[in-house]
Amino acid sequence: MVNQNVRIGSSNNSMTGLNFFIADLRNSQESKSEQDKRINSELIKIKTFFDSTNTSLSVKSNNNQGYNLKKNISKLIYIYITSNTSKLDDIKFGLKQFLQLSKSNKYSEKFIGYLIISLLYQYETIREKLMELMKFTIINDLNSSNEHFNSLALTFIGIASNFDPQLLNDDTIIECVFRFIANPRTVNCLKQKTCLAINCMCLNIKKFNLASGELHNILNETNIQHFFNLLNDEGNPSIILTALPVLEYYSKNIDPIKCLRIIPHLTKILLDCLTIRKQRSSSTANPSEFILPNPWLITNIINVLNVLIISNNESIKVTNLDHLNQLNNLNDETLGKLRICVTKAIDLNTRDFKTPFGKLIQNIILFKLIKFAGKLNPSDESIENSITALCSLLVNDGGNTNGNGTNMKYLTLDCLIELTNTSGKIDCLRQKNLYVLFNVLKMERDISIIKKIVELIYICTDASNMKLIVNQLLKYILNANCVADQNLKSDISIKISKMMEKYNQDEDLYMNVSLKLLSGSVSGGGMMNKNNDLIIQRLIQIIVNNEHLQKKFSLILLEYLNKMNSNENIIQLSCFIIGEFADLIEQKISIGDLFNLFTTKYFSVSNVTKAVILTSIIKLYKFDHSIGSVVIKFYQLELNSLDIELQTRSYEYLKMIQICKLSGNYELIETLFSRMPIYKGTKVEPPKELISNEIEMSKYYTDQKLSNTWEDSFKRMLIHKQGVMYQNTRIKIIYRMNVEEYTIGVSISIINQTEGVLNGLSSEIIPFKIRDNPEYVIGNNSGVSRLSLQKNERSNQTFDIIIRKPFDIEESPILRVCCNGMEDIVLKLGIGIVHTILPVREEDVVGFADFIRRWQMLPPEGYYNASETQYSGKLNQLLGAQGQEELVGYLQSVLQGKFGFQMITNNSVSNTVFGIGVVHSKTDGNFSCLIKLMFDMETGNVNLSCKSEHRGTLSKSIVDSVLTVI
Amino acid sequence: MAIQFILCFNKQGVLRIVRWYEKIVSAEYKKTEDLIAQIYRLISSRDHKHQSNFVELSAATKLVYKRYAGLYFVMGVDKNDEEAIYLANIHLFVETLDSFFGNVCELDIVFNFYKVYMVLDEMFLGGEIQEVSKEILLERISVLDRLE
Repeated sequence: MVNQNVRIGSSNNSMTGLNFFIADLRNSQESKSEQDKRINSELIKIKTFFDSTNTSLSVKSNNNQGYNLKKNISKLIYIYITSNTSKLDDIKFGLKQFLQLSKSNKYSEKFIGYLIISLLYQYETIREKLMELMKFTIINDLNSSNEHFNSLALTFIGIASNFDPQLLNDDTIIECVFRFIANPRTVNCLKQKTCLAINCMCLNIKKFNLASGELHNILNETNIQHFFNLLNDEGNPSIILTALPVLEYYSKNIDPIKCLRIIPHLTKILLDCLTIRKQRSSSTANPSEFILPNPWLITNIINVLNVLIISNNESIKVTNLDHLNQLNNLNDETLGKLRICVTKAIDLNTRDFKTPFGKLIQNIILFKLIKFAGKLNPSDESIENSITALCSLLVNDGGNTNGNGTNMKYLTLDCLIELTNTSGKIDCLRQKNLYVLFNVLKMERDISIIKKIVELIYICTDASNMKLIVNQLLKYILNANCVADQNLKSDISIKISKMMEKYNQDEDLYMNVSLKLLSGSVSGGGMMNKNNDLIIQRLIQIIVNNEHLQKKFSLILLEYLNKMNSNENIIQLSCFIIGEFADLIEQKISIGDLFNLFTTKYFSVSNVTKAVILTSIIKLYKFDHSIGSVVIKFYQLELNSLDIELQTRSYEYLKMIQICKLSGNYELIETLFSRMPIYKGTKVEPPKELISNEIEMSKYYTDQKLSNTWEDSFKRMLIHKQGVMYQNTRIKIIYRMNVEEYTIGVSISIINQTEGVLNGLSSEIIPFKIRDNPEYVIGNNSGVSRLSLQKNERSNQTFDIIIRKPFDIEESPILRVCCNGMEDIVLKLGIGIVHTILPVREEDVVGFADFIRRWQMLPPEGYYNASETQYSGKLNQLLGAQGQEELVGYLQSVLQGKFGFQMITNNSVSNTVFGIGVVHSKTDGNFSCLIKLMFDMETGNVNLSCKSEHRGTLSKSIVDSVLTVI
Repeated sequence: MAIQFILCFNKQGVLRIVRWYEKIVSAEYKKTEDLIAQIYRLISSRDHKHQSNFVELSAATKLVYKRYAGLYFVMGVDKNDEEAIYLANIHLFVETLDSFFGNVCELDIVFNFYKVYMVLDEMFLGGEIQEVSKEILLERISVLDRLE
């Protein structure tokens, strides 16, 4: 009966023993213990068999043994997979046999050997044991004359290189793999596999952050030409398909310029793909009379074109690529053809493909091309039309509730997001179609789609519609019926907070909305989560720092607290704030009543909130000792709490009260629970998670490992406009900067200091951000003038840094210089907004009185809208100064000479220097900033403070820069 | 990086096929089985008629999936990837299996799981699609299948 279960495949290669084993397991499906029993007895049998292979000579000696190994290892694979990988530990005993099988010279055996190793290769403990031995097998198989063995090895590389960095550094393997590409006789299928294996290795080199040496070198030389040649194989679309990812990698990471010449060729293939052909015979399996275009090929071609072509809109954002102006150089013919491609894709969509698959392909192509159209410098009108058309898709599809309809909606939203991002044209969406998005949001039940809509709405937000959007979204999440997913709700809450941080200047609105957000999350169960914590943290920051809000919000929170079922977030926040400012609202409610209110809430909340309440209670006691006896009773009760934190707090607070009561001196409690000091420095900023420009810093930037001595050059560059940037025994880099308003022209020279020749010189300038409205962009990068340097020869390079907005000095660009046989030199350039400081114009020169007036006009640190940064600390370097005058002179010379501030003379305060300057930026404009540096000769303490009109990081950046220098 | 993993499981959540192309690093899922369980929970809870075939798994990974009779085919892809093309990948994969086995059903995949891997590895390499012509795929697989 067992055999009824078995459907034998098309070959005679099936393993009867395996089939019986699987059938057995399936027969005992109902009882897990029986299955486990069956598996365990099989495992014992397999173990015994493996032990016996250890003693026999080799696989070759016994034909049957190969088969048995294959069969048993297949069983292990089956056990591993169908246990959802949980039986890993039970099956990994036979590593030696796995290796043995992978060395077999029969394909079906070798295949199973490779299969099990590839499945287990992701586990480090197993990988460690197999790595070295597996290398030999791979190399052997790559060198084999059997193409099937070659392809097994290539497939394995495609999996293993994701886990094993060592594989990527093995020159022999790299060489063997490339041989397939260079050899004109390689069969198509191997060529395809080779392309993808190389692609995989390249991507992982980047992922593991390995020195790309050998692999890039090989690609760089003659080999990339082979990949170009593969594009000519028009009869084999799959060969082109697989060559494209490598070309994409090459364009992105090695040399885009070399690839520019393939744009016309790719355009031709793309156009060809999109040309609809009728089927020769109508009797084929496909009922449609048109041949479906190849969506994979189209996708991959556009992926490459997306790297190579940069639209005018992007060129504002991305300018670190040398081929900036290529789109303008793109000849009209190619541009025209690419635009025709877009038209054809739209045209294709009007055809009626009957099958769901046909419709899917239509959509893939349509959306891919529409997104791509943003790259082709379309007119505003055509973008607007596309946006309107896409939005109408959203509406029309409302009635269509089958799976395809929702997919379509999802893809449409995705396309809109991409289109607005690449084209930068949001106005049409913002002004005309916002209501469409809100309507879709209200109706939608699929969380994936809701996330997309919210993302799109978020993109549409600006200062003018922020209130409307905040209110709509707030209404949405407060409506419990809309969506039950807590994560989504908290995502939206964070987005709302971000919008308000970014655009809102009205603290009342901010506070009210935030409170609603917090109280809104009760409907879903009142779970504490990280996002709510962030909001609470931010609210406390604002209330503590703004005196005029303290009373007002204590009262508002009191109202919230008085409601019967106020939620836990609100209780936590209220108890903290009211505990802090109870004296301010004493007229409204007595301390005793507050105590009663807190204690009634106490027993319905979680331990975290309980802890907050315990602390708030002792603060209440601080304001009014007369509640002492009830407070003591309350704490005594909590001494028995099961929670260690609650117990500790109660014990400590009880002790404090006792000590104070005994001595009659309440100073201890007064001191310990004195009012919270205002937040200062970086703590004034909203939590990072709430800052709206989700710092999409390129991971590439943060991944850079800076050379050891980078700080020296960084400091030097901050104060000197020219000098030596870097020097070691082999290479020297000198620089010169030229500032014109907000553009800093930099020229660097790399000099060969060795006796020999330096080859393969290249450099890269890596900005912090290249998208999302970056603070600065790199332009006019000339690249290195020479690729190899003789002794004492120099290679020159110039580039511009255009400062668009103030930015943190920590985010200044990184220079990477590479050269054969030398570790890469990676330096952070000391170039920042401070370089654009110029003294105020002569007619605007201010006197001391004017300085003070201006200083007072800017809100101080800690206020909601302020941009002041202060630093106090000790600077030992200053102690060496001979006298006050000398020190003043030194500080003035630094601030004036190095940074460009105008110094303000003032004789009344001798231990302080004052300066004023104007920073320049392209997009945000110019800001004046005031600086004050006070020092104490005796102790070396300084107090440095900077205020600016710019709300943001400007003052911090200046303070950081000045501190770095002095 | 394109496809991070390919999974196939039945309605009960029993894994039939698994292939990882990328290390999924996550503090939340120390064990592969936990991650698989989470993916199963996420997908099986979705309405396969009225909801899209795309869902977010984590900040770095999106799932593109489709149910064919009692089997879910799932691909984990990078968050920046475009979902639709992977739906086409799944479709092509299932169609190829269908032609290879002749009206494929779960039992074919259970008993011939290694042949499914053969098809999988001919179609995908390192997370990228390698061959999109069903005819060429079938021809190649039948050659491999006959090899001793």
